Amino acid sequence: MNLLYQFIAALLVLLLSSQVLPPFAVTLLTEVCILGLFAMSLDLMVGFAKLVSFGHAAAYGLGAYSCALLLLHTDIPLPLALALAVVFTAVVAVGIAWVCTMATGISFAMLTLAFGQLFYAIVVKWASVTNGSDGLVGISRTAGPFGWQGLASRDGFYLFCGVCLIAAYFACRLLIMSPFGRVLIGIRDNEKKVTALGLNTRYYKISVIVVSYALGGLAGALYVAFAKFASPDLVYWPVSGQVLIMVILGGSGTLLGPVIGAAFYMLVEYQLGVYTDAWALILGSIFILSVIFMPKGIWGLVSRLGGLGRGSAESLEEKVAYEDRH
Amino acid sequence: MKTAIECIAVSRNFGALAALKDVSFKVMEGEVRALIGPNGAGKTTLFNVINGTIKLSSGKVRHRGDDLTGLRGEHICQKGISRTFQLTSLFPQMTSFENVSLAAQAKLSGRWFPIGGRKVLAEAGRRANEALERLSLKHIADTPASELSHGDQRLLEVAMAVAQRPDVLMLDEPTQGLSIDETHEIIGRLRALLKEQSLTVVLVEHDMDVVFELADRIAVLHRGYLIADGTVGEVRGNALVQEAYLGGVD
Repeated sequence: MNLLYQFIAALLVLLLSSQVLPPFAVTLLTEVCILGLFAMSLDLMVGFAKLVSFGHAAAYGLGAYSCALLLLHTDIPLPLALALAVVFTAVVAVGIAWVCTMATGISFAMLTLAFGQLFYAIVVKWASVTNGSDGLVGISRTAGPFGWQGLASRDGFYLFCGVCLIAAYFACRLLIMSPFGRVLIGIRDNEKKVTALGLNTRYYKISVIVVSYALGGLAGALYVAFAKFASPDLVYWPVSGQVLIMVILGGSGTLLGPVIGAAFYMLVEYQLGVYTDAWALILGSIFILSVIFMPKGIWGLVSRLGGLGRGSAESLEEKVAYEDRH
Repeated sequence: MKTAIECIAVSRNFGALAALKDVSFKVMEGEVRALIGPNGAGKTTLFNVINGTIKLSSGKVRHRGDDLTGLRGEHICQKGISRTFQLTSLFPQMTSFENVSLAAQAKLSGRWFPIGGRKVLAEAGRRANEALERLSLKHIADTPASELSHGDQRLLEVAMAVAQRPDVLMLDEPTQGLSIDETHEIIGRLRALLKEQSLTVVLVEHDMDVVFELADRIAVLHRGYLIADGTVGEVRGNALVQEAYLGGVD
């Protein structure tokens, strides 16, 4: 019940913000929603199962390119194109996850990176489909289903992205609170013990990677509909690094932290980018300092300062455990 | 009495080293069976062969007539054989209750439910509370496992195995690294547990006090061979065993 009220409250805030904010802020927030969703999807892997991926751009790119191709070559409504892009990303992710989970730790991270670069190479080389390094342009997000025009407008699309983010967040929370989520947290804490307790950890890891890629694919697909183009840059490895920075900066294992991390990243990029080309240098310094002084990221700092979540409960799972017991 | 675990001519080689040579023995239902032997005797290898952590080179392991040979650890656990580790293995960031609850959940049919699963979690919680009660650990239920004393950590790991309601409980040196007082405490709690509930236990242990206090029967290994197998009294009087322990260094 508690969760339902929070869900409704979040939707109301979203609706209100679309009405009162100036147009440029709505555009900015749309991008925050998309990148936040992307970072949150990675947090499922990194923060809850300790599956550190250096290749999450693959998820973004798979969603982006499949959605772009659908929008360019067919007349299907945008939500259907997004759904198909998500399904496609998830199916490919099964294969990626199957291979990557043969390894653990650094080897796992390297395999994810390899897959990321593999998709980058495909996107650049397969020019007849992807238009190579020029990318796909001229994408339009026209009608919603049944001729509904809402998604074509700026505010309508913002609302749509916001709803996607909020729905994904609550779905992830339910996932973490479920028996499946408990096993994931167990894998993060001590994978060997989970095996000794009679569970095949690989199935759980593959499952969470697939969910994570599917949400990352949704973010990529939304980005294409937002920016109206898809370029190989979306699949290039710096994207994987950036999203990992967003997760760690915001606070991994908190779901909302990475969304804040994404917003913070964008804020630094856009605001500092106006004054200096060396904004990345400043961001890098902030990142280093935050890793040393705020191991739980911005979210951890905020909850410590604000006494958020009943005083001591700093991370989501502690909160969840608290709610369960009381 | 029925046989719970049966090892038939089990051998295991590590390269040129034969850690187990042709070991055959049975663990009966409801008995506490200790595996002892000097360092390097192969007792931990045998222990790990039974629970599937180590693959055997030849021979067979059966559980109630069911062939376990070649099965992976997690499958063997699902068949009702729960183990603890020599070096305490817990989920350090979770509370004691969450540790035990996850262990119990691993044996429930809805253990993987991705959405909802409230009933599964409630049942796991119920079993967890029961297991914590059995080992008198209720007072530390909300303490993170990493903050427990070493002795409580050892007991918590036993509670996790107990919460799985195993058919065979396998304890790998439950008093490893504990002071004499703590060891007595653990012996007391384990005895209380065994008194309350008939459990089949396979116990690897260095400390002879623990073995003589808890075990019904003892199997003695020496350099990979099973050299004695019998009641506490029989093993105590066995010349070969005395040789292995006292004059075994040649």
